[in-house]
Amino acid sequence: MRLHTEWLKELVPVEVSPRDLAKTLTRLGLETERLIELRTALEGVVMGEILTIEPHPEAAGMYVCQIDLGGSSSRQIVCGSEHPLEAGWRVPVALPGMTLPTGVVIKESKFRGQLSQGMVSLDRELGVLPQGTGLAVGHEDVSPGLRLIDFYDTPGALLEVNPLPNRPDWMGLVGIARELAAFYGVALRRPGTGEGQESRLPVDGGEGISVEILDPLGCPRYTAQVVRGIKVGKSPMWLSSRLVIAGLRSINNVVDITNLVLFEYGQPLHAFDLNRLGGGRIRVRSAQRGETLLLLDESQIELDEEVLVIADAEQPVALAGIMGGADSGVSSTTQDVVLESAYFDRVSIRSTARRYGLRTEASIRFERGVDPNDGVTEALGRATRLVVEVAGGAASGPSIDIYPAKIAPRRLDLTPSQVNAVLGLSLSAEQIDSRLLRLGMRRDNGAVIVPTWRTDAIEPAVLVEDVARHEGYDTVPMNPPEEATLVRPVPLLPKMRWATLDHLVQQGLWEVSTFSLDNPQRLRGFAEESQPELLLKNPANQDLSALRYSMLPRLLDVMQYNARRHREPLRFFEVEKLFRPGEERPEGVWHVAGIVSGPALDSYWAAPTPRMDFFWVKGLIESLLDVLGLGSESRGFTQFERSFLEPGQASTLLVGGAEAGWLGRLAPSVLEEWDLPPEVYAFDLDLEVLAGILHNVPKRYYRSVPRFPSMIRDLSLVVEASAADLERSIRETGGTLIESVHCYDAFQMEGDARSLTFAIRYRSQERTLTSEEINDLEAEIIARLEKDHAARLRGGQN
Amino acid sequence: MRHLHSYQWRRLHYKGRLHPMVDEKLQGLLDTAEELGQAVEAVGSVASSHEEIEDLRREFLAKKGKIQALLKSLGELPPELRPLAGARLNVLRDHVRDVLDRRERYLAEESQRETATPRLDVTMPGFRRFPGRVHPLSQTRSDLIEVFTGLGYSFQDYPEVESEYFNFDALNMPEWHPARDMHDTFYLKDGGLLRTHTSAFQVRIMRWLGSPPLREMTSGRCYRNDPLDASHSPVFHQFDGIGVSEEASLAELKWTLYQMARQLFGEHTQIRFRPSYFPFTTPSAEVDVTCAVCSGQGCRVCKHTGWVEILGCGMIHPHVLRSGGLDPGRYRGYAFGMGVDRIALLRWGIEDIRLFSENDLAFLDQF
Repeated sequence: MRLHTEWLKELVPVEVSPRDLAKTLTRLGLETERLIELRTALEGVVMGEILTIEPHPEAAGMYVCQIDLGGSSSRQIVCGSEHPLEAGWRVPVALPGMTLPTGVVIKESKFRGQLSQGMVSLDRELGVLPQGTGLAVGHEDVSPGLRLIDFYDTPGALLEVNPLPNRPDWMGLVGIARELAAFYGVALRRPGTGEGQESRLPVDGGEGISVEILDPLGCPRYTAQVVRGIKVGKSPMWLSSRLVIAGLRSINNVVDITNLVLFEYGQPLHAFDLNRLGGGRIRVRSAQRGETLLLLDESQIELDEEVLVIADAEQPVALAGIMGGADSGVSSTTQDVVLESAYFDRVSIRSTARRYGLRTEASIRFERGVDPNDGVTEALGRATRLVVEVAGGAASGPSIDIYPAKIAPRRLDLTPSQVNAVLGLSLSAEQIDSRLLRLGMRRDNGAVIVPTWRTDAIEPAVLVEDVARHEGYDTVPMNPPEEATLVRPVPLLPKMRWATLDHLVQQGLWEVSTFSLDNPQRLRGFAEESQPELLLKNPANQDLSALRYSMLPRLLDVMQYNARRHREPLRFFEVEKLFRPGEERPEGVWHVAGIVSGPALDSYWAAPTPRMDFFWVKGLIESLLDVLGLGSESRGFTQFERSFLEPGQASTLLVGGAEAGWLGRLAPSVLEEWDLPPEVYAFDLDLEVLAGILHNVPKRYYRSVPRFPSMIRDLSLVVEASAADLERSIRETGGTLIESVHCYDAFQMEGDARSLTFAIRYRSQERTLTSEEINDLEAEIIARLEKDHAARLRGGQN
Repeated sequence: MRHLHSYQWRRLHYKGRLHPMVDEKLQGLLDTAEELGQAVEAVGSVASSHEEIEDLRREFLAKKGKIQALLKSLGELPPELRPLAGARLNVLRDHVRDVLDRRERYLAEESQRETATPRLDVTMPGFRRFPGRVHPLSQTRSDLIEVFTGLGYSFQDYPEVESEYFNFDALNMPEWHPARDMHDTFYLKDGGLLRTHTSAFQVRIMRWLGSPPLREMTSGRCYRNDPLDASHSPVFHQFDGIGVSEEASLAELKWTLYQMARQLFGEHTQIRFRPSYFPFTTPSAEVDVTCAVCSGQGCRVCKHTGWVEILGCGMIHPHVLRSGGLDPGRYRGYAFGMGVDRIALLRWGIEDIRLFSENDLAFLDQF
């Protein structure tokens, strides 16, 4: 909402600079998003004398002027003023390079073949003149070249403010002024007062209009006034200027007045052409199924019983509180108008506006809540006076006011101790009451009576906030808490996530953050069989329309993005939730997933760097499990097949018998789609499965360090069996005397046979083992391996 | 004569004066020994080959060498001075041997060194194991958790797929409430919605824990149907906390957030409360801190105001306490919530939120 500081000062007579005014508003909760000091903003505007003015040869209604700006030569400017300009007049001229407060940028340009070196700028264009008197056009004592700004005592500033949604009263100038008046402790003036407008309204003896409310829940109050004999036309300069500065469009004098009053009071008004209302009557009622209405914006809507309309004797003429109908509005031929000022039910307006996708200045205010009492009538009175003043005519018949059940002000209980306890202040009862009374509240038998324009004040807490705002939030001290709390230990899962993050980063992977929403189409390439999906009902676009059940597509995006820019290293991971409905944990399951490609280490001049491969990733995962505290749990790796993985180069991870994730090389089809190098490995672990296992791992205690020496023997075997099977047999045979088994060398022999070399460490906790003992044990192991796995000792090896 | 020990000097004095023979012969012998010693040291310590050292051995230590010659001249001294002078010559012999042996060893080691271990170019790059980096959003989140853990808050996760009730209704935002307009909510086809703010945790935790005092925090992803631009993202991150007790006040909230601001943005950071509106708090406030980038002097990040807005907060609305099963007549509480993305932007002066989801290594490398 845009307003002029001088408009506020008309209503709140205080001497404050625009900057202080803005600060005060922010302090009170009405944030000033932008402040445009006109003194600076209008710096480049100078007065010029119109030397000649000719109609533009090719554009009707436009003029080409030669203007003297006090320099040696004159300038040519094309203008199209609604205001008739004449040679010899002095007008303000904005020069190229300037940006006017209204946002217009001035450029030197050609307009239909005619050069224009600036802009003739009157009130409206400049966004100035609170008094709206029309600019000092034609002052002959002004010499060309003088700065415009020198003619103002207080040019003021334009403010862009952002009323909070709970304060619809701030959506009108009066509401803002009321808050300021309370703060400064001065009496609030109403718009239009102090300008001789309190004189009696001319009233003719004609008839009013008959109004009926058939749905008093939807419309608790309806007021109206007929004005006859008006002349619809262009608004005077002061009126259209105000609207333009406030950011509204000027339409005609009557509509402009309803808009101005809406802007002043925050009370939406509507003007009907009396002679287009069938039967000359107004009925506020629910629509009937089958009825339709052509709205002002030319859209045709279908109505039903849920919708509140304003109707004449026959048909709906307006969507109540939201938008008028096209056929009953004010046009250039209108002679008699009905001005409407009503109070509609907030919820009903909101649901109707949402249903038709309409969001108008009126609907926003009605759904947030206007003042059903004085607000409704004051706005109608102001509009009536303005119509008579601007468009002529006379108020006709009585002012209509249908208000079957008066909405009474709310009573709230509030004690000083309550205020002080919440704020941590020690204000006296008098201090508190004086703040509240200035805001228009009253004390009645201990209760606070809250005026009806304060639709937000339904709890005493709101009054506490009022006191705090007006005392100033900066007066609230900073006090440490008096009570200590019991801090709960961080739950296992977040702890594991943070440990995972630390470990993977230490291992050279980079944490990334990608959207949890993805395109279901491409997610399906990474789906399990019969993968259930969580789709959005109202997605912004297809790419963000499903909660993801795989991080891979986004991780591939990250790799692609960086690969294309030749960034290194290509090692990424993310710890986030995946969404797999249908499982027992429907809400989202924490996973860690990663994607890697390229050298395992940053290049080193002294030795070749291995490339990352399946076993690099496997080792990474194993070290992660160790770090997480799953070191002693049984792990298993078995072949894993998915369409997005290279067959034979992928594995599931089993921990303690449970499937906890997978790792493997991505299939060429995937890499082709993402345009990536041939060797890319990925993994995905379910952290919640791991947490479940970890949860049951018994707490570990200290074990005494081994006191007896160990002995390492190598065993080189030619086998076809898997490394894990061999290791299991070795351990089973050796029992507790085997401390560790580690395969440290392997090479492929003919056929499926491989040579594997194991280092076996023997140790007893009770004694030093003798060579003979170990020889016997080794022989036993070899026999077992020969028998169970057809293993052969490799000849000639030690 | 530094090779004579003091007791030996004492013996040179005879009945209170120097022996009459000392002046001439002994002095001559001792001086020659001294010279020889110095000469060997000078030549032997720079000898550059085994052969050179052997020559020196022959010159000084052999049977016909210079030391042997001196020993022979001992006979010319009076008998009582001979042991003394002999001792001096023995010392000389040992010293010469030592010098030559040492040099020989050194030469041997040096030749070995040259063949086995080359000199390194120590300016070559080291074998560095470059760790990756934690994403700036994660860093910010964990810093926040650390700060509030220190202030006695407990952390827990809450669902991202939420119900209308916890996300809106329980927080005093019934269906018709205009504040819902500001939350462009994503709904799921099969029911439920994606939480629009982590404040959805407030009523859950109150119900779960029950009796105050309680200080609780959470952090995680939130979703709103906002187009992706420099300052908005449909997927973003929030941090939320509440404190509920019989004594909670706006003053306590101010103290808490001041602690946070100092730790996060530097100890000279100031905070400022501005009135604002949230349906689930009254009084409500938005909190500004002095700009960390320019220390409040005014810069691009703070739009030359010296202040940046970091969070929203307020005293928990009675409706919310009631939703959480707490009696607003007995308990009060405060709540605060902030965008992790926004805090990260402000800490490092980043101007575009999209950088966080772009994951360019050239960007991630900076944190």
